[in-house]
Amino acid sequence: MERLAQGDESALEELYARWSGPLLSFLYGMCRDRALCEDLMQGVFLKVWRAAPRYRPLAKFSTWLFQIARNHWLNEREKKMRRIRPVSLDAGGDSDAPRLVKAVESDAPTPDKVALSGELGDHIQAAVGRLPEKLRLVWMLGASQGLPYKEVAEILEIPVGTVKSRMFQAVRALRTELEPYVGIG
Amino acid sequence: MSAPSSPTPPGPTPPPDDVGAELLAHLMGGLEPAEAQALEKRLAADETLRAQHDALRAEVADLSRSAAPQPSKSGLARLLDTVEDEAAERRADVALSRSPIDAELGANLTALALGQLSGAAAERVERAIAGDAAAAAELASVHELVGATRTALHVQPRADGAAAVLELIAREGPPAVHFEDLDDVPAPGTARRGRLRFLRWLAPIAIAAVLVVAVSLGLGGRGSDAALVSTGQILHTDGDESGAQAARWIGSESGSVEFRAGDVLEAGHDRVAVRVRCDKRHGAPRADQPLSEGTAELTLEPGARLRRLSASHFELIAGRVDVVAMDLADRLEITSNTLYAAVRGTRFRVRAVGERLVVGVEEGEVEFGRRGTDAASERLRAGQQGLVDEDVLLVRDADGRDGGDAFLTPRATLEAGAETIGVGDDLALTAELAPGVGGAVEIAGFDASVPDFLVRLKGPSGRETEVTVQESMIVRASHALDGGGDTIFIRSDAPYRLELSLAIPDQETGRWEARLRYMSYRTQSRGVEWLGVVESEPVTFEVTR
Repeated sequence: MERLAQGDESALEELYARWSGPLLSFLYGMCRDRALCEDLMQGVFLKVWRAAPRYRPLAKFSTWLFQIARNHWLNEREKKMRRIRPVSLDAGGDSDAPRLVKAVESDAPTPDKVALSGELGDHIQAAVGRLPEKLRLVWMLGASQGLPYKEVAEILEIPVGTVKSRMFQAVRALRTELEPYVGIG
Repeated sequence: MSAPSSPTPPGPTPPPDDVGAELLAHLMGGLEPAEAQALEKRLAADETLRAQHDALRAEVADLSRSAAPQPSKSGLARLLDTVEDEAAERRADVALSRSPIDAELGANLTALALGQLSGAAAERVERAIAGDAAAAAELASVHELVGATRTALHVQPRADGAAAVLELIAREGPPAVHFEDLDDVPAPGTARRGRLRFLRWLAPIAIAAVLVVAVSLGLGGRGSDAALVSTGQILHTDGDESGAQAARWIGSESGSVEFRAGDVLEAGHDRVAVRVRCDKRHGAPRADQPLSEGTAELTLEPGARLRRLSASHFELIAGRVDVVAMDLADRLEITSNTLYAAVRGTRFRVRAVGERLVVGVEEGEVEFGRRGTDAASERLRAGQQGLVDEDVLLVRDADGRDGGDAFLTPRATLEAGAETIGVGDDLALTAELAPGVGGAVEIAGFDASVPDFLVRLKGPSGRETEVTVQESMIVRASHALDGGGDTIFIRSDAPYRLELSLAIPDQETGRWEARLRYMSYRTQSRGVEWLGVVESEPVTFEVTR
């Protein structure tokens, strides 16, 4: 980060190489729109670049980075919601799923979906996408990214005990959603 | 919603958000059958509600027909989001209510499956579920779920992603703080290196210093429940509202701060002290006079978060708070989940560290312990320290050395690779940091830019030299060295170890002593908390010709 603060672009490249994967997976879990995630991720790295002179190594870099990513995602989502709302309430999909959710979340196949682990992957993505936001954040950071509860708590600014209980709630919700498909339920 | 070119005709007054959400959920089949029936009865009986329902139906139909993105004028978009999340929460609640195991055990099992529990806590959960088939199945399914999620949501960045970012920053120019665009970036803390230098000479007076707050601001505004008695920023979150949106930063110049039941105060980058009344009287106590009967002074370390539950009951959400309480009628309690510390009048400090509570007493006596099925408590006298979590309740004398913390600092050991070395030979040492009596602790790993690890050498003539460990001296390390001082949790089965090779600074032959010194502190979201200097027992070796 010191190198980054001094304008060393290669330092940003190194950070990108290390963190772009986890960051993109986190953002993808939150919004499930590949193109949007790429844009968001670029925005996050731009903010890291801009904020580098202010950075102090007081907490783990990953905590700071995921805080930026979460805030950036929330702000961009809010802006987007204020501006334009492209929805189709007639979106297709399996008949068991509430139409409302199908309407709000775009289920159009994306290139990465095709590359994922087939039908089960789709069901899992959909199930995670259908978690309430507060559970999805905890799940994506704690389970999907494997961050310690303490770090998740710092990123989301909630007590560790809340992370713990939300994680279990997410497990129950995901198991219920996935019950028809796999042994996971 | 209508397109901009076809304005919406005048209709019924829009319903309040919660009613609107319910109506919309009904229109879209998002209500449970019983809820839908109840709403339909209300619709049949209430003409206004029916009109709102019809208007909303028309709006939804318009929206569904629109082929292109439409600007949201009616707030329907926001409503959709609210309803979507509420529906998701309802589903999650239902799923939780149907869980075959109770929530507490489930949370522990999930934590166990994710590798989030320390050795002792993991063993306790494993013991609790031994022979329980439902729990074993739950554990297995969490493993499977985590693996499946990681696979399903793993996304590779575009190959040209880095180039795209570099192109962006090339247009941007060198890093510079664009304040107007940094809403998403968490506030920085105090520079760690500077803080460490400061703390090294501050250390011997650390405990005394944190209790002294004497900046008088002539405070006590009307309607305030706490008086600020030190400089520094404080984040106030109104208890009537939830989430960060209700939070605002208050500068010390305001002199007073509302601190009512439900409100949360969080210290910024500086320690902040507030005075509160712990009885039923209203208004903030005076900050420019000695503490009076029935009042208490709460000093929040940077990043500490404290919620007021009642006049004399506070919940420590995170960090550390130092308390001076003066002759209280009701006992003052600081709690963290089921853990608590309580007094009527004394001087003590409380830290919430993960799921542990650490209490140190300066004056008087403090009761601390845990509530619930496994309730237990102890009394701490001045000069003692206590630690309580779900497993243990420990009391011991505070470690007086440099204000070191008996529970939160690691235990340092140093071993010499040989009993005798020749003049000019390098000395092989193994430095180790391991948990102390309080269980797992966090440390900052080796960072070449910060002098956290030192070896103090004492020669045969009694002359002492302190060597700052440099990366070039490290032969092997238990943890990667490129973490730059990352926080590392050390457990008894996973200590932090550095194998060193040191050149003896002079050629003096005879018996030498070496000690490891480690500067212990822990990082928080808004700063570092000094814990003390940890020193190993000396190890001896002989230098011969």
